[in-house]
Amino acid sequence: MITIPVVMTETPTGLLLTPAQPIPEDAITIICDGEHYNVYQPGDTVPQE
Amino acid sequence: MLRGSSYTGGGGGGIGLPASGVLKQSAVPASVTGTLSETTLATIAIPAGAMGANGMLRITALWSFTNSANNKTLKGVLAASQFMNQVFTTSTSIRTQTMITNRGAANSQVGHAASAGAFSGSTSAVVTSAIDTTQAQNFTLTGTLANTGETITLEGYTVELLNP
Repeated sequence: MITIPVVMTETPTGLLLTPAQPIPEDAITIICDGEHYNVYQPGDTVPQE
Repeated sequence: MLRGSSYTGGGGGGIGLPASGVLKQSAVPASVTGTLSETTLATIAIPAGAMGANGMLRITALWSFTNSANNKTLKGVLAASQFMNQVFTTSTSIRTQTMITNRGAANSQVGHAASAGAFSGSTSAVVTSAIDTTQAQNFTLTGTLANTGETITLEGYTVELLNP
């Protein structure tokens, strides 16, 4: 798993969170927790819902 | 079929226009939890000039979320214009479709009322915008929670380019 920090941008309706860099093409699951985008790739154990 | 930036196959497209087809598709789940801020779950690059003067973007997305009384807000935005802004509470999943069509010019668009389902009646006006589609633009899908303990997941999406 890799973590990508969020970038917070002010919008007319509040904060918008976006990843600081592109999500890798081989991502299999992406979870944003408000501070980071946790990106799971092949071979990683994806958390159960 | 069109994938990524390679315009091959498919029908339509007219003279000098990209063919119709799938611009991008994914079924990789992207979730947000733990924040009340609007969170980008997918960003799709729309190449410069991909939409002809009467071209359409058709975005179909599958979402799941926590079933509760709290709002779960799903948005679809081209450049800075919201073409989808729907709120769900006591349900578990939805498939949304957003269609954005150029109105005879590359810088004039129309879409269904943002707060309504794609094929539902609405008392809200259609969405119009003046985005220059001769320039590269982004379409984003976002989710916003009202309770940090809940989750919105963009389960997948398909972005189609339709040029007559």
